[in-house]
Amino acid sequence: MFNLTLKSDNELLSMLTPDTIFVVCMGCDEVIFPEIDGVAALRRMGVSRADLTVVDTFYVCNLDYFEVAMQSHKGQFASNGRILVFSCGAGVQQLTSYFADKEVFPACNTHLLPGFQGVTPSEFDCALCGDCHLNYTGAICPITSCAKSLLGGACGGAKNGFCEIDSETECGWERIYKRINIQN
Amino acid sequence: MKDFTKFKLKDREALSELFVGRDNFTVLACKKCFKEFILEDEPECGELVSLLKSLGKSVSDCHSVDFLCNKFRTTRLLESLNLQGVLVVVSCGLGVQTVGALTELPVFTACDSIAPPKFTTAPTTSGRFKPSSAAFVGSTTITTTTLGQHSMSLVNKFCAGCGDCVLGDTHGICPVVDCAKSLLNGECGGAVGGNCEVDSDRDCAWATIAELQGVASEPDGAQEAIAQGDGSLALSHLPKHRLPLLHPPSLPASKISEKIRQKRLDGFYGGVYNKDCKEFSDFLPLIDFPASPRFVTIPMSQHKGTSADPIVSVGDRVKVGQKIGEAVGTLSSSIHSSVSGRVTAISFCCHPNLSPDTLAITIESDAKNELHNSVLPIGYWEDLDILDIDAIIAEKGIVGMGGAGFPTPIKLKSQKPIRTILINGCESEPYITADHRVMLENTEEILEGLKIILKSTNAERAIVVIGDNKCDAIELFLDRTSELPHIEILPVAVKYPQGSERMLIQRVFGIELEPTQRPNDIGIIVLNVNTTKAIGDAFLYGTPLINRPVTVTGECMSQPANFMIPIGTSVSDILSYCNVLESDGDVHPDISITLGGTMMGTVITDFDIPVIKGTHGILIQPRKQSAQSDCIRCGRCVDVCPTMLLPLYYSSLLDSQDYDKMADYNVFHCIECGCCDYICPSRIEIRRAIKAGKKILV
Repeated sequence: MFNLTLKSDNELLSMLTPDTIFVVCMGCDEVIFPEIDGVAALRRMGVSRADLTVVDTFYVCNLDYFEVAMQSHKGQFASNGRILVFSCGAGVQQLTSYFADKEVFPACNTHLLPGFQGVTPSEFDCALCGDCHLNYTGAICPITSCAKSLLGGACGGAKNGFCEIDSETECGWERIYKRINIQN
Repeated sequence: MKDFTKFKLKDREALSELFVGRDNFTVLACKKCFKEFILEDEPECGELVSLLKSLGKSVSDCHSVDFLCNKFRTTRLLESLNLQGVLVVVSCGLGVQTVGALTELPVFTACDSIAPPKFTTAPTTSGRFKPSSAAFVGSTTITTTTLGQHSMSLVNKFCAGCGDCVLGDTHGICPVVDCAKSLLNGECGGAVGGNCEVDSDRDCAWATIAELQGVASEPDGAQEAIAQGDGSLALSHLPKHRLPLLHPPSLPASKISEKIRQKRLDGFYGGVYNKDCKEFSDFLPLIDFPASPRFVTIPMSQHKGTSADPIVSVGDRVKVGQKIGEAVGTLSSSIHSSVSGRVTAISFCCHPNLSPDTLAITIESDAKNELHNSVLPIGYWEDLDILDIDAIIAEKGIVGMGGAGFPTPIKLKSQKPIRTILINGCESEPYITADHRVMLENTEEILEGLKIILKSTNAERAIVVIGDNKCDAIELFLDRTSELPHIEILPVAVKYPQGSERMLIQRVFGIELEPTQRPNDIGIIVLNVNTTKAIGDAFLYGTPLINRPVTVTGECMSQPANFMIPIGTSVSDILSYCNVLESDGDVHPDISITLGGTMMGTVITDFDIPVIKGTHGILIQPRKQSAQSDCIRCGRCVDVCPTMLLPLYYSSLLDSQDYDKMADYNVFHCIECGCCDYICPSRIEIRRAIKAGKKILV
C-alpha cells in the first residue's frame, strides 16, 4: 500500500516551466492520495488556472486509460512542455517509458505502508521473505513486528513489553509469547 | 495477465512435519489477489486437503475466502463459522496474521509468502532478515526480499515507496528499485558492459541513466558527470545509501494506515470520498422551469408497486393538480396533472427506470396553468384525525423522492411502533444540489411536513440529518428548530453513499440493519427532505406532488441551474432550454446526458424520457471513453462496498449466465450505489451487471 505526500512548494516551483503539463492520477486517490489536491497546491502558490494544462486520468499506471485521457489534450502533448505527474512512483515511471522524448517529473513522494497495494491498508505487514515462520510464532510475524527482525526470541532490549526503539512499539516477541500461551 | 500471487504452498516434507501430533483441521484458503479472476477455487486449497487426508488427518471444514486480509469481512466470517480444532491458513503473511489475531485457536500457515516475480531472483546483501539464533527455526538464510511494489494496474513498474522521489533527476529510471544496491548517486563500479554484476541479464540502472543523460558511463564518475551535464541536476548531496535508511514519512506508516482505515469505516463500512462537484450549482436559487413545456407525458407508474389507473380519457380537459391516475391496491400511488390543458394520448412511453411499455398520459398544455378546485389549503390540521391525515397524504400522490419512490402513506403506516423519524438531507450524490436548495428555500414547508409526520406516526422525535458540506442549511435549521423540542438537527460528515437509508441509520444510531430488515422494524422511518416538503405543500397549499426540484448541471453546461420542473416534462425540453440540443434533436457526440447523479444515475440516449417524482438531476458531461479491462482481483470493490458484498463476481457471473450464483452472492442486497464502479481500476461496469442480473432474476 502506498501513501503520497506532495513535494515541498520550493521543489514544485523549481520544476515548473510555462508550458508544463500536469498529469493528475485519480486512480488510487481514495486511498493513497487522501488529503492533498496537487493542483490546488499549485494554485495556492500563485499559479493561475489559466496557465495550467491539467490532464485528469484514472490509474495513470494503466496507459490505456492515460491514452484516453490524453485524447482531448493532444495539442499540448505535441509541444515540448515537460510533464509533472501527481502519482506514485510506478505511475511516474510508466509515463517516462511512454514519453521517451519528454522530461517527466514526479510531484509527489511515495511512502510504503503495511499491506500490499490495493488491499485494505493493514495493521499487519509481510516482508514476503519466502520462508514463513508464522507457524512457530502464534501467527505474529517476527520479521515485521520486531524492530530488529529477530527470529530467535526477544533481544533483551524490551521494557515492560515495549521495544526500546520507541515507547509505543510493542515488543513483537512478547506478543508472540503471550499469543502462544493463549493458543497452547 | 501477470500473476502476482504472494504465496506458495510449503513443500510436502515441511507440512508433514508441521502436522505431526495434530488433528482435526479446518482449512481457510485465500482466493488470492492481483492475478487473473477465475470463478473456480484456487488449487492450493484442494492440494492441502488431499495432503492432510493422505497423512490420515481429519479435515472438519474447508473454506475458500475472498481477501482473507480484509479484517472486517474475515471477522464476520469467523463469527459465523464457529470454528474448531486447528486452523490451517493458505494465504500470504497478511491473511495468516489477520486470522491469528481474530481467534484463540492455534493458527498455522501452509504457505511461504513470496515477492513479486521481478525480485525473486535478486539476492540481497542485507543481513537484516538473518536469523539471530539457529535454535528456534533453524539457520535458513532468506535470499529474497521485496524492494518495491507494482502499481495498481499490474504493469511491470515498481515503486519502493521510499518517500523521497528522485525520478525527476534520473530520467524516470528508479535507482532505488532498479539498482541492485539501491544506490542514489551513481554507479558502484561493479557493472560489466552495462550489466549489473549480480545478474548478467540485469541492466545497470546508473549506466542507463548516464546513457539517457548523454554522457559516457564511468564507474563512480557517473554522478559527477550528471552534475556537470546539466547544472540543475545535482545528486551529489545524496549519500550512498539503501532504501531503509531514507527518511520515513512524517507520520509513521502504521498511523497513516490507521487513518485511512478509519476514514473507510467512518460511520459505516466502505463508501467513497469522491469529489462532490456541487460548487457548480449549490449557490443558485431554485427557480420555476422558465420554458413551460407544450406537452407533458406523465407515467402512471412513478413509484414502487402497482401502476395507477388512468381516470381521464383522450380529449378531456384537465387542470393543474387534478387527479388523472387512481391508485390501485395497497402498494400504489395517485398521479396528478402538472399542467392545465387537454389529454392528447394515453399510450405506452419510455420511462427512466422501467421498461418502455409503461402507460402514460400525454397532456397538451394550454399554458394557462389553471388550478383545479381540489387544490385548496387544508388549513388547521392539528385537529384532524390521524386517519384523515394519512388519507390526505395518499390522496396527494406523495411518494419517496430520494429515488426509490416508495409510497409514503404505506411507509408511515407501519405495523411496528415508530419512535424516530429520520429526515435525510445528506444528498451525498455528487453534482446534485436540489435537496440542498429545498432545505434553504422551503424550510417552513419541510418543518410543517415534519410536524404532520410526527403526528401521523406518533413518533417521539425527529432528527434532520444534514451533510456537513451544507453549513448554511445546518445553521438555518438549527435556528428554525430552536423552539421545537422534538426536532433535532444532526450534521454528519460527508461520505458517499451516506444518503442511503441503511447507511444513514448506521451512521446515526450505529445499528446495522439485517438485509431482510426494514428501518420500521427497529422503529425508524427515513424520509427524504423533498418528500417532507411535499407533505408540507399538500397541507399548506393543497398541492399534490406535481413538480420537483431538479439540478441541471455538469462540465458541459454553461449555466447550471436548480429548476422546479413539472412532472412529465421531457428531458429534451429541458436540454433544448439549456441550449444543449443541436438542430437534429441530438446532443453533440462528445457530450453524454445522465439522468440522476454520477454514481447512481443512468446515461440516456432517448431524450423523450419524462421527469418523474424520483428524478433529482440531469448531468451534461463530456462523454466518457471506456477502456474496460479484465478483473485483476485487487479487492478494491470489496473494500468500498457498503453492504459488504463481493462485487467482483457479478460481471463474470452475468457473462457466464450463472444467475443463481448471483443470487447466492446476495445480489439483491446491493443498493446500487455505484461505489464499485467508481473505484474499479479495470473500469468494469459492475453496477450495470448487477442491474441486469437483478432484472433477469426477478
